[in-house]
Amino acid sequence: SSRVCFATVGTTQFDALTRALVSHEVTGLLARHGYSCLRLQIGRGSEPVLPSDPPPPIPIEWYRFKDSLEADMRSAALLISHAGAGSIMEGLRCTAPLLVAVNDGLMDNHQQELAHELDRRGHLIATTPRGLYAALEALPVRAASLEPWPEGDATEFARYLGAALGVGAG
Amino acid sequence: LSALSTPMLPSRASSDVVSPSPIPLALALLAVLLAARVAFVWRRGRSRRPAGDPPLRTLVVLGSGGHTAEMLVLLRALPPEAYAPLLYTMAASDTTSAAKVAAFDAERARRCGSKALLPSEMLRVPRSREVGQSYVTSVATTLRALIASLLLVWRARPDLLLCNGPGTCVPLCAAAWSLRLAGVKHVEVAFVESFCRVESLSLSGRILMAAARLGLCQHFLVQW
Repeated sequence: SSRVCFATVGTTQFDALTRALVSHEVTGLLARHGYSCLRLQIGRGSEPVLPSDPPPPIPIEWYRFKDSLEADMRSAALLISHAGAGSIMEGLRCTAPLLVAVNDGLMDNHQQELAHELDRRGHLIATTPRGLYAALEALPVRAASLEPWPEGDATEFARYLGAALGVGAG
Repeated sequence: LSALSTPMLPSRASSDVVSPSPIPLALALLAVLLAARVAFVWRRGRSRRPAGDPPLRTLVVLGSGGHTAEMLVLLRALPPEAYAPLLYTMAASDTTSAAKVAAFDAERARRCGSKALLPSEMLRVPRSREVGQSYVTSVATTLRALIASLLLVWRARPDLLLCNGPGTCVPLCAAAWSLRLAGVKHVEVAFVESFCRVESLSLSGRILMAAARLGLCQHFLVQW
C-alpha cells in the first residue's frame, strides 16, 4: 500500500518549502518513516530542482495546479501545507496528520497567527521550511495526540443574519 | 421741462405679484422629494426587514484562495429560499473561484429539489491591484475597479451584500453605500472577517469597521 506525503502551497509561490522538501535530509527521513512517494503541488513557484547524485530514495512527483486537490489530500498519509487559511481548512478536513509550514520570508505574515493558534489547540503542527526536518522527526510522537477539527459550522452566522434581516434561519 | 428733472422710477410692482420665477419653486419641490426619499430609505434600515422581504437578492463577494472557500462555508448554512438569487462576484483575473462556486451552486440547487430558485449569476470586476503591481499604475487600476464596481452594483441592485475581506470587496461596498446615500436603494452590508485573522483585522476589515461606525456596514462579524 502506498503512503504518499502530499505537499501543497495553494496559489502561492513558496520555493523555500519546495527546496526543503526535495532536500536529501527530508526525502531520506520520509523514506525511513515509510513514505513511498513525495507529491508536490507547487502553485506559482519555481520548478523543483531534484537532486541527481545520489537520486532521492523515494519518487518525487510535482505539478502546479489541479481543479481540486481533494483527491490528493484525502489519499495522502501525511499532509504538508503552506499557512493559507483555505489550504489549512482543507487539510484539517482530511484524516492525515497536517504539518503547516509558515513562510517566514513574507513581510506581513498574519497567516502564522492561524497556524500557531491551531497548533496550540492541538489540531496541526506549525513549523517553517527551516524547521521542517525537526518537525518531521517529531511527527510520529506528536501525530498521536492531534485532535480532529470539527466541521465548519456556520449555523450561528445563519441564525444571526436571519434574525437581523427578519428572514429566518431556515 | 420741470417734469423731466424728476427721475422716472420703473413700475414693476404689478409684475412681481402676477408671475414669480418658477425655478426656485421647482428646486424647493425637488429638494423636498429627495429629502423624503432619503428619509424613507434611511428609515428602511431600521425596520424589522431592513433588506426587504425574502428572497433577498444577495451579492456575494468572492476572493482568491481561502476567501472563496470560507464564503462557501457561510453560504452553505443560509437557507436557499431566503437568499436568492445569489450574485457571485469575483475578480476578472480569478480563475480558481469560478469552478468552486459552480459546484457549490449546483449542490445548492439540488438541495432545494423541486422548489425553483431564482437563478444565480456570475459577475466579474477588475481587481484594484494585482500582486506586485507598481503603485503608480495602481492608481489607474483602482479607479477602473471603482467605476466597474459602481456600474455592477447599480445594475444589480442587491438587497444584501455579503463579503469576507478580499480586496475586491471595498469598491463593491462603496458602490452599495452610494446606492443608499443617493436614496436609490437600501442595501444591507454584512462583513465577516476571515477565519485566518486571529489577532488583528485585515485592511478590508479595518475599512469596513470604519464604515460600520458610520452606519454604512450594518453587520460586522469576527470568527475568533
